Amino acid sequence: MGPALRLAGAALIVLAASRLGALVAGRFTARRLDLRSLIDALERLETEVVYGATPLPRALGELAKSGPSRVRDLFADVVSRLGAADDLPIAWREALDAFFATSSLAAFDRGALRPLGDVLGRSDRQDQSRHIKATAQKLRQLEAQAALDEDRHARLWRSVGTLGGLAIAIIFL
Amino acid sequence: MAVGPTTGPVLEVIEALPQDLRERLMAIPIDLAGRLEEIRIRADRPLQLVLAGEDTFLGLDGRLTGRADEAFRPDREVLARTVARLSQWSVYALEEELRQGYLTLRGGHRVGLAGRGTVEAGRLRALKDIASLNIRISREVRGASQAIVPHLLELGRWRSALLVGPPLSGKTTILRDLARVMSEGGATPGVRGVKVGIVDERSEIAGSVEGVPQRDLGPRTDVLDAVPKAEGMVMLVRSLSPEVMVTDEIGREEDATAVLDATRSGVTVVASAHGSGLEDVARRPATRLLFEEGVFERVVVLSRRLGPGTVESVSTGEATRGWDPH
Repeated sequence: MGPALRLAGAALIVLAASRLGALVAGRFTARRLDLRSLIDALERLETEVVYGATPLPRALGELAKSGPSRVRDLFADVVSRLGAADDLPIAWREALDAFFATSSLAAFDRGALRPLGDVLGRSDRQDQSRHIKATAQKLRQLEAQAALDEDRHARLWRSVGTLGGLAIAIIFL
Repeated sequence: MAVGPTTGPVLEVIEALPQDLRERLMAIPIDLAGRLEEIRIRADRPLQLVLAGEDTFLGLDGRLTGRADEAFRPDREVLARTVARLSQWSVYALEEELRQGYLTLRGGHRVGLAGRGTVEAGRLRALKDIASLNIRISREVRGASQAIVPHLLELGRWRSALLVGPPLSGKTTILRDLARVMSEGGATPGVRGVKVGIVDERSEIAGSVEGVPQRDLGPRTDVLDAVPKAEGMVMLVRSLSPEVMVTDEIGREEDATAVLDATRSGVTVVASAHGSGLEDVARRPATRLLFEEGVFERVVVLSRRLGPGTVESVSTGEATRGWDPH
């Protein structure tokens, strides 16, 4: 095998490995951004509920249309499942499950959001405000944790990817 | 026997309920369901149905039964879910409704509520922990006003009238049909259609959804939906120049004052009031004021003796003017 071909192969390995590292690192960033988007969405929902007295299907529909782009699909899914299942707790749970299956969020992030579906829309404004605020607060704590993880692991994984790729390439060379 | 109430208004109501209740009610034979007037849901109590004036319970096996011990009993959770669903998961948007004690469903069906009150500064702030729901099925009955139309027309002009009757005597149904007949014209040959304005505080007459009436109220009818009666009557006269104004359940004194103002500005008023008879309403402050002022040229007493909308008597204004029940 010619040396040029070897070099090209080595470069390919390094490239692929660092891409892999970036992919893993990217998940940490994505999780933090997802959590931030969810918090922003909940804050908007609270405003709609407490100050606008907007009916829930319409408030959720607004979030699906013009909410934070990373979580629009989640709210669109809740609205469409609400139409079919006719029951908010079920629609909320199913939409969360579907959303979490494809997002970078962790299982305990879902755990923080899940209980909201059982109380959403079932009590007066003060009570709703309390529930939504408490959920947002929990997400904020997770967001802080996610930012720490990102700091610690994202850089590490990027380095691991590139360096690992280099190591393999050197061995093969 | 065909199963399932496929008729419009009953289906409309049942579809607004949560799934478990819906399935139970869908199993009622269609000929019985067609006669449903009320569905009464109480926490841990038998689910009660009123069919054509007779009451019965919904049995655990889906059959109708007179025995409370065989009846299906929804628990608190079912009630909470029902209220949540009826409000489209927007109980927080029902502040006014929870203070008034009722809400109106799409189609104009009224849901009465009972539960625990929360009081603020000595006044009811809202009902919490709803323990009873009474869903009244509202039906559009074309021709319901046929029997009283000749009494309200004199020399081709509509007269101001008060319909008096107990709950479920057909007052709102007749008002609705009357509005249509007056608006369409031709009630008797040569009677032209008039501009009708309806103040529909509880959305029961027109059954409006997002402001648009769902009932046939004739081509010359405007509806002020969900506007407090007294305020609405003033608005209507000021801005929509109705020839006839229709509103239901005159009860508070401010309602009476608004009716008085409207008739003084030349508007014919057709209204309803709760009561078992003439003496009953004549004793109440609001309606008494109107009787003393001779506002109503006709008073129609309704009952459900021969079914909803039975006309017991029609009196002319003279009979009520300066009425003294004492």
